[in-house]
Formats: sequence, structure tokens, C-alpha cells
Amino acid sequence: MATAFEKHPTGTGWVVEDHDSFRVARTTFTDQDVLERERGGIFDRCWLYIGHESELPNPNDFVRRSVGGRDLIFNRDRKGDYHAFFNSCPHRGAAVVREDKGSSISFKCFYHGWSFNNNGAFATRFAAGTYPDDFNKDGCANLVSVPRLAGYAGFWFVNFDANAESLEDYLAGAKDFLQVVADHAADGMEIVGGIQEYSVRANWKLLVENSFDGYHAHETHSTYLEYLVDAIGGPAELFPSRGNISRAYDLGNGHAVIEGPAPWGRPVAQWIPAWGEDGREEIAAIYAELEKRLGKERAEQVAYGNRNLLIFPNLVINDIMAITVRTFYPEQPDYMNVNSWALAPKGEARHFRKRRLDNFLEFLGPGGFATPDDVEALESCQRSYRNRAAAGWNDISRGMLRDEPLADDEAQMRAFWREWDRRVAKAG
Amino acid sequence: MTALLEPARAVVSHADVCAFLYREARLLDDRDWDAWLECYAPDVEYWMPAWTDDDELTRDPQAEISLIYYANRQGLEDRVYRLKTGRSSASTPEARTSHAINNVEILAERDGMVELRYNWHTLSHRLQQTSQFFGTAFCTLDARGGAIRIVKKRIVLKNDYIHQVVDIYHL
Repeated sequence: MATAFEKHPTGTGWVVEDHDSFRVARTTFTDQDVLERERGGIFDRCWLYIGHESELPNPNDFVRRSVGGRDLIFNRDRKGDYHAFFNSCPHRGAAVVREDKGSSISFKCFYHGWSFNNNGAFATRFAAGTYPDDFNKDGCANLVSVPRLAGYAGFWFVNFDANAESLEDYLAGAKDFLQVVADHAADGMEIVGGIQEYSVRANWKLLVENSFDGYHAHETHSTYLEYLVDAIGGPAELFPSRGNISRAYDLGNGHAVIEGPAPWGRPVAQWIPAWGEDGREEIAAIYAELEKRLGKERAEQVAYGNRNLLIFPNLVINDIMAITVRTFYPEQPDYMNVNSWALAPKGEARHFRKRRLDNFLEFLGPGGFATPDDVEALESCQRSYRNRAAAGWNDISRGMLRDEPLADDEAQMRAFWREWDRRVAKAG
Repeated sequence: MTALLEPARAVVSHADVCAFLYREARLLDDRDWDAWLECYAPDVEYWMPAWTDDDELTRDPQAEISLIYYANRQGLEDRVYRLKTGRSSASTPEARTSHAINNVEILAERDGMVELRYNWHTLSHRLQQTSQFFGTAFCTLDARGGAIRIVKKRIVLKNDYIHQVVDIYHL
């Protein structure tokens, strides 16, 4: 029998595993130095989600986003090219964009009036003699671009490390799952109007784990599941080609997903009796379009597969009874901000959109039936980590002996923690 | 005051409206969920819109995100069921709430249907933390029958950066 609590030779010592055991030290959820190392080793070096292409449909559109602790402008210039800038005037630092969203060919700082084209170029003319004639020859008066910006399947990411690997290499096996989400609709996907913002008094990694935890649902969400039995009005058609089994997949570089059937209705495209016979025909038509466009195997995956996807470190896309796109960032070891949006097919028929939003609101967000109970659990864990001197380790070993891990095992979390350990160790 | 000498009088007075609103709020504070549900008509539309990046409220609950939206009372009944199970860990232990209502204005009244708005402020204490929620509510009351009932309610939550949960007992 191998000894547990053996650290990775190259790791932090906070993640220890053997062939049948996997433990994480609770200090990783509480200590300020761990957060500092996460900032340097993870948030300053990984690709972080900034927005969806549908949020900037036209040239000159912009949104303001908080990403990885920075205040950013994500925009398109007059030609339609995408940019990400630090939202800070090169002169004294005031925010150049103060609205959360808009459309503008230029940005003007409200403090002294410096202005910039929406490609970042400084655009103020000063009276002769005010500054040297070659002022800004080194670009010091332009808006500062985020070092890297790239998109994949409609999802845009930034990286604060100019030397980072390409987004596609970084995404590894997660690319295919981003594509599955994009494949829902022939005309593309869009972020639905309105945002849910909430805070949680818990470490951000607890929300990582919870977002693709197939194990907690029956206990934490029993009241939602009881509601669901009434609401769906009978059995749904599940995911036949997968033998109705949910599995976990390690997608490389810390990304992972759980995928499988679920009993709720999916607007794309799993019918439930509560939607009636008309609804059955409509869902069949959506399914037929999927199969024609994508082939049978992919169509089944889109229609019947529920996915809880983590893109390391902090993007969650849960393609379940509706699709939520969620990011979160630690302000403190025990406090995070969460932003959450709904994603839906562009031009979706109104009554499908309504079903989708009903599904979304019923389960997700601070007014839903599930999210608040999840948050309660995360905060309860966080509070009890004050016992960490005596009760110092979390167990993440469920299903380690299985060759093909199930969604209610914890292989997906182990994938996250191994990458976390590797990156934080390097930042030490 | 006699009916003969007065023009057609309002079916309900401002004081009646206030008494109804205070009672509804008190039923939440007292966690008298079943009596609270009776303040609502079966076909009530109960809606708390979300805010957009433009700092506007979402306008169409069937096409945009809301914080809570129910097209009828069934959704409120589901919530009460869930609260009563004691198995929603976010609501057990229950929050102690204190609702305050002010600036009640009757906007229109016709044939016993009363449109009104008011400001509301709820303090909520749970697990040694006090949170607060505040905003404006727009209601239509049906005062034609015996008991007044709410047939439409749109709740504007002004501090929409929410810690963990917002539920009916906060509003």
C-alpha cells in the first residue's frame, strides 16, 4: 500500500496524490500568499475569457470588462478588428471608458480630455510648444493593449503574458467542446441581454469544483429535482448512444468536462412531455437540422449531451437546461465576484427562448433554485477551513480506481488541481 | 360623507392600499408563507428584471434575462414549497427579515384595478451577517372583490450586485 500525502516532486506540496488517493491542503483556500502565487502563476499567465463575439456585433462596438483583476476595454475598431486595452489613460490613469457598453469611434478621458481612436492611437492635437514635436513617437500616449487577444468558436480570451502559447494550443482538448456549444445553431450563438452578478464569501477554487461536480446534485439540489419531476411531466428521451451514462473527460492543460444525459428539457433539442405534442414536432425539426448539418453522432451530442465545461482557470460553460457562461475572480482568498450570462442560438424562436429562460432562471443565478444552495455549501466549506490546523486536507479521490471515470467521480477536479499545482509551483 | 353627494369614489383609499402592502410585507417577515401566497391572484405576473450593460432594466422577460420571472402564481407556490421543505440550504436556517415600505403612490385607478408604486427596503440577517435589498415596486391590485389581490408585480432591485441569494422573502 502506497503512502498517501506524498507530494509531487515538482509540486507545491499542497496537492498530494498516489494511485488511489488525492488530497488538497485547505491552506490553498485561505492563505494570502497562495492567492499572490495564483495571481502571478495563473491569472497573469493563462488565457482568460473576456467576452463573446455576439457582444460586439458591429465595428466601433465596445464593452468594458473586469478580467483577472484588470479593468479592460474589449472593442472593435472602425475596420471591425478586435482589440483589448487596459482602461487607463496613459496621461494620469483615469478610466477612459466609464460606460459598460456602447459604440464609439473614439474614447476620451474625462479628466484632462486626452482622446484616442478606437484602435488605441492617441488623437489629441496640442498647441505648438506644449509638448515636443515628436511627442508619442514611442507610442507612450496610446492606449496600452493587452499583450494577447484571440478568439475561438466565438469565445474571446486575453492573456497578460506576451510569451504565452497560442490560444489554440492552450485550449487543447477543450476546443472541441467550445465547438459543440457553438454548433447549437447554424447562425451562431449570442449572449442574451442582461447579466447576473453576485458575490460569494468563498475561495474561487471551490466554485471551480462545484461547477462541474456531478456528485453533489442529489443532496444539495433535492428541492430542485423534486420541482423538476413535476415540471417535466414525464420521462424525457435521454442520450441513447452513450448508454445513458455521464462521464468525465480530462481535456489537457487543466481543462475538463463532464458530459451525459439529464432529465430536463433542452431547447436544443431534448423534448419533455410538458412541452406538448406541438413542442415535440418543433424539437424534432430542430434535431433534424442538427443532424443534417452535423451528422448523427454530433447532433446527438449537441441535443442530448449536457456539459459542464471548465476552461482553466476560471471560465465555466454549463450547457445544461440552458447555457450559462460564468467567470469569477478572487478579490481575497475567501471572497470572489461572479459574472454570469446566458448564451442562446441567434434568432431563436420566441417561445423557445422563453422556455430556455424559464429553465435558466429556475436553476441558475442568485434568484434560482440551485445557485444559492451551491453558494451556501461553498461558504460553509470556507468557514470551516478555520479548522485547517487540525482538519487540514480535502479528499478528491472519488473514482480514482475506475478506468473510465464517471461524472459523479472527481477526475475532472483532479485534472484542474494537477494544473493548478504545476503552475503555482512554478510561481513560487 | 354620503354616496349620494359624492362623485364616484375610489373603491380603495390610499390608506387601504398601504394597509394591504404592510400586511403582505409583514407576512413575509413572519414567514407565514401560505397567507402570503393568498395576497396574489392565481394568474399574477411576478417579475424582477435584471439590469443590462447599458444600465437599463431588461424589458422583455421572455426574451432577456431576469432575476426572477413567473407568468403565474405556480412559480411562487414552488418557491414556498421549497422553503417549507427545510432542504434549501440557502434558506435554512431562515433569514430574519424586516421589510419597510414607503413613498406609496397610486398611479391610476379604474373599475377597482389600482396601479401603484412604492419604495421598499428589506434588511435581512442570517449567519451573523446583515444584508439589505432596496428598490421600487410597481403593482396592479385587483380590489374589485372581497380581498385585495396582486395581479401584477414588477420589482426593481436597485442594488443588484447580490450576495449569494435573492428570494421572495427579501422583496
